[in-house]
Amino acid sequence: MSINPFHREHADAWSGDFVDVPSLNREVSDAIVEAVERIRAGVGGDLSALRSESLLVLGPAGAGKTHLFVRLRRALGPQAAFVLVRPELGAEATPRHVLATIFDALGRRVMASDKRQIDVVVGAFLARMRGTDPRWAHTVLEDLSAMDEETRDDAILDVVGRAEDLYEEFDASWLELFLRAPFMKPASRRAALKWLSGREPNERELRRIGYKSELPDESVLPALRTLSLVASFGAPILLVFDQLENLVDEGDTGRITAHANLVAELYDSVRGLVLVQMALDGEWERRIAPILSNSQRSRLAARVELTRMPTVAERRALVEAWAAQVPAAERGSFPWPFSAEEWDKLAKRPVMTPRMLMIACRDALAGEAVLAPAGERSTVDARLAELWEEHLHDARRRLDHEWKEHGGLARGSLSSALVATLELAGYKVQRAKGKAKHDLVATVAGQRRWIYAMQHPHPRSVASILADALRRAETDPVLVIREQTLPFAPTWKTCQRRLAELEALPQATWWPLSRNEAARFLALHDFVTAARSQDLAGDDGLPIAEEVALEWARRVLDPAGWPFVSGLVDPVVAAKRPEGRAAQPSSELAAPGVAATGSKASSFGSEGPSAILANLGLASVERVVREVRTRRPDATRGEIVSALRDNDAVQWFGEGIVRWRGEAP
Amino acid sequence: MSRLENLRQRLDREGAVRTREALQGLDRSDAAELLEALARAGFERTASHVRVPLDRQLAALLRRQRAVPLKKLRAHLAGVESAEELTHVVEWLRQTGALASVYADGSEQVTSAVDDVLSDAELEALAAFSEGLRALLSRSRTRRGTRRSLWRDDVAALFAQLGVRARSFVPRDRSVLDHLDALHAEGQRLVFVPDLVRRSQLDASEVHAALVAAAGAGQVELRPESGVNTLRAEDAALCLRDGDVCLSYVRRIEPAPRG
Repeated sequence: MSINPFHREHADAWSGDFVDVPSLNREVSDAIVEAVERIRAGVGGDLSALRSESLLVLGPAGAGKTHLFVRLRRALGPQAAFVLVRPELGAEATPRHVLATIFDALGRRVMASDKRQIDVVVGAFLARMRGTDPRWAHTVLEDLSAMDEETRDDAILDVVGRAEDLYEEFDASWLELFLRAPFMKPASRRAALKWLSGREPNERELRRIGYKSELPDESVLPALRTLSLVASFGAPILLVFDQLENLVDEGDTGRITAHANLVAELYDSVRGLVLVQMALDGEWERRIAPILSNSQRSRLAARVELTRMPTVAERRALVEAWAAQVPAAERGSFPWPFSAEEWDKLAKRPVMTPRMLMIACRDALAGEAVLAPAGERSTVDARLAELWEEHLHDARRRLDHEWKEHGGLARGSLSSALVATLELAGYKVQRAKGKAKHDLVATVAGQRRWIYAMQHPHPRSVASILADALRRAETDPVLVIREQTLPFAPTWKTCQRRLAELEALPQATWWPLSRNEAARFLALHDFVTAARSQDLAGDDGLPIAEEVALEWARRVLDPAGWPFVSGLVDPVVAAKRPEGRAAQPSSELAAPGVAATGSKASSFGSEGPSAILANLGLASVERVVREVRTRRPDATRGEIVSALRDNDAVQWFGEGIVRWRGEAP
Repeated sequence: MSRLENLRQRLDREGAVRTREALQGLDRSDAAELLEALARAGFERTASHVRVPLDRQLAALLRRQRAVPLKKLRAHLAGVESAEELTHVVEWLRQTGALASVYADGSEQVTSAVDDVLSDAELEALAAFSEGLRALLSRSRTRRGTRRSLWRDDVAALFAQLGVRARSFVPRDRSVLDHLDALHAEGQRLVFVPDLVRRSQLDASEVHAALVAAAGAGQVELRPESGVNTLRAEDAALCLRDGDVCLSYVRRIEPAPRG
């Protein structure tokens, strides 16, 4: 069979591939579309009267909440900018996190279009401010692109001035850079977008855009206000907080309260947002709503929409729509892939979620019993192993994406992944609050261990983290972790010195994180949150109970035995780990005592970067990385760069180009 | 086996035998002797049959069946000479209290399960109740066809005449849906099925049956449990189940017809 449409039981929020039965949950999608239209209409009047909209969508697992997001992307197209936020286990949602997530999403393409959301937002705003229909957003961008730089800057300054006249809440300096960004050269645009998003740019990026530090805390909310107002002129931001059930912590309501405060603040102080929150109805009713104050509830649940179970007619329409994806020659007529008797039974069941129905289709197509009751443990184990592999695959894809877009994982993502791993391994983990330098405190055998997810790209921040870790390591064990894909530059002398000092302390552990480890951490985080959201479905179409999934993960994946976790328990183990120090950033850049001997870098052999460069002669580092990864998919960029730097026959031109000056192969 | 014994067994089996057939081949004195012996054994002779007496046949029939339609009674009994004869027997048994007439399934039936049917006194009380109810309801209607409500105490007093306490004055399904509507009106978007069971004061099975019927009629939507380990055992016991699926929430999707 060339296509099996019954393997998509979890909707991909960003997929362009979409099968829909419009009548199902039409009320919910209509309510959201109306909210977006109210914002668009409100921009024509007094901006100070424009408010944000808030909707809460509740439903059981598999009822189509994520599917709604895809439907809205198709229905609204460029008339809204879509953002999906899911809670991270190790980080409280903050305005800065929201701003960064919005920018990540603005980089995505509009459904069924080659335009990015950010171009639509900027183009529509410029069009409105220049007196043109926002539907001509792209033409306006092309017109401005065609201007010389000075004329264009004047035009943008003119728009900024008019915006300020229109409404005083616009942050003019942030707005000016935001409007200029689409016309910048790629490297400068990346730097600008990073700064605008509240992420920390590295030194080079800051130099490119003429700033000395990241967007200050006090500017984050004004930036959000400005961005939301700008977007509301053409494509209001539809900010969807999904899987709220993952805010629930046993015995700690802090994350729920923090989220509620954040949403209330956005609702009250940011104009033109459409805030949509999605949660499992049972978790909302019993664990989230009771914790909220009346004022929080009135904002988070200003309007409540419930997803609906498909009627018998809608069940039939779903089966027909999925089956229509299969070439006509390979499918039968309705009730294919079911027999008449199987369909009769499915139609008579009082409740059937779309996910259950899709799994039933898959069973029928495979010739298996339709929605057979949950089987033996071995069957469930096999299904969980399958799901784990899917999560691992997705985590690797995400790592590639993060590396490409941001050079590495965000600090919050890494610390969240560590929380999931450590908690599953049985350790009590406290998350840091506010502007603390550390990220987590794990309690191991009654002793606290301070963990720093040092993902920062700027040496000033890295040096500051290391200073805090050094101070802390005098009394308590500390562990500093950083992805290998984020090597220290040669000029980071203070960082190198502090790292060496840290390593010399008996209570300190330095942990360069390999790609494989990072992928496992991320996959485990997503596996744990999917279990909580009841998104791990068994062969019977029903969610696999959270405790069953977590027990499997403890037993089979054994996170307690993962080197990082073992190293946390016993720093001696960490010091001796085979890939530990060897996985350090490039040896010539690393601090004393962190040489690359015995590393993977030197064990590439004939598939290694040096051999490949010898063949290529002259190449970009990225080309070498790509070539090595086609042969060794587990190799990280850090390892490849390290191997190149270790070889005297490699000549460097700046940071990006290398030439082979050794013997010809 | 003697002729008498043969005949007794056949009568026990068939209920009646034609007299001509029973006496075939006997002279007058032997025939008289056989009939006398059958009479002593409890059988009776009619114009054309020797038979088990009708009251005994009827008692045996009603031991096998809880109730028999009166119109079909003759077909179930053997050797009946006339309808009047049968009516007479039924009336006599009714007067002795061995049998009762009851109206069910659209026809009059006879039964020997007399304890399962209302007594005359109870019927009279019910009639009085009906009359009282009719009178009360007539007061709730105005000439313009609009409706006025009644004091619960007045209706309860009427029920009290029957010696019963009125828990609810609406049919089971309506009662469950009314409670559901009331919980919705109190602000519950989704109604927790255990809360509905407790509120209705009905057996869980009755509430579940009403909900399944209402779901089939498109009036409510049943929803699967989606809490993560938050369903208490005492609540789970009151939830509906569809195979492995626990249905813990319900919501109205269409207003119930009123009136």
